[in-house]
Amino acid sequence: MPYAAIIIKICRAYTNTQEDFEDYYQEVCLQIWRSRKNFREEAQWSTWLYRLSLNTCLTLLKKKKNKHQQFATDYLPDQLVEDSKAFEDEDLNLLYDAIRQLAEVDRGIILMYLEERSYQEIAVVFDTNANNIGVRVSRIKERLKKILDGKVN
Amino acid sequence: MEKSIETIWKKGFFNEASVDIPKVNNLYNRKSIHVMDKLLRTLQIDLWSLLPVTALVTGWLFYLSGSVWIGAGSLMFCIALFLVGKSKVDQLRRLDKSGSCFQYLRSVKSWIKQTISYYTKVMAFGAPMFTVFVHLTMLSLPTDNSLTGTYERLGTNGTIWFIALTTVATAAIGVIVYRLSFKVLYGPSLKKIEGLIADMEELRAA
Repeated sequence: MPYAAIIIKICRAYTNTQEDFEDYYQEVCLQIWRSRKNFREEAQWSTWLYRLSLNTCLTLLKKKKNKHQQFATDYLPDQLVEDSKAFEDEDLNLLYDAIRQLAEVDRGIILMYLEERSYQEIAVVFDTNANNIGVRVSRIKERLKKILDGKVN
Repeated sequence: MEKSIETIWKKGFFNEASVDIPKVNNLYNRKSIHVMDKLLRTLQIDLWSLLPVTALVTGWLFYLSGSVWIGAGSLMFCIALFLVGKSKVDQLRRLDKSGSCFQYLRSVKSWIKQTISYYTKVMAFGAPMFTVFVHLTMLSLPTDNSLTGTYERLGTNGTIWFIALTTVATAAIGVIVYRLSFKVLYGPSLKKIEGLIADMEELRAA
């Protein structure tokens, strides 16, 4: 369950509908299955899982954008927003709606931060340094706060 | 919003076990549907593109030979290819989908292998037969054109060699062109199907 939860949390942040979510979830599972032999013991399993899940979601999102020639976050029709209410907790649904309005990489960073991953671990996943992650997390939190307070559309 | 995002997150996922995990027994169904949709779309385009090709080839051969018989022969050959192609696509559509995704993909793979083998035979035997038909028709017609002029220049033995060589060349070129075009058009889909089957076999064995 803990690993399935990681995948679910990530896939929810990159999809607006239940159908897309299931597609992304199954694709991530498939990629994990296919790439499991590439996992090296020196890396942490969860770090590897985050990196693989995020890369898969970003690739799928890119494919989707190329197909529709529009940004998924540009416009969220009402029925899609309704579909995105995937969790029982209403505040959590609102937070997810706000996360979906962030830039794609920022979504991954904030998810890992909320999962209490260290800046160092996040930096490994995003190929940068811990200081940079620290700065970005502060900016993302600020932006999320503004979105949640309704100051940003 | 009063609460911090960290609090919302912790509270929302307090009982992580209650989060619905999508079932993975459906893992390959949608993926196979995408692959099959693409394969069928390509087959359909490939099939219908045969009609303008038929018109071009027939017109070209008629223009070169000046013989209605050769034009008619070419038309019949291409239409036969179209009808066989259509029946093959229908056969693929009729494959049993009531079983598992694994069984279905295996039947698709087997259909692809049979179709490759079938068309290779058509190209290896049908195309040369058509070439022989063109030569014999040209020889039997009094039409004066570049091809009949070639027969006269080559003499009897030379003509026999010329017919034999062009027949073998047609077979070889036909097979090579068919294999290459298949690889370009259907190679990626076949690779995906084989990948999915391999994954499923591995999962079954695990």
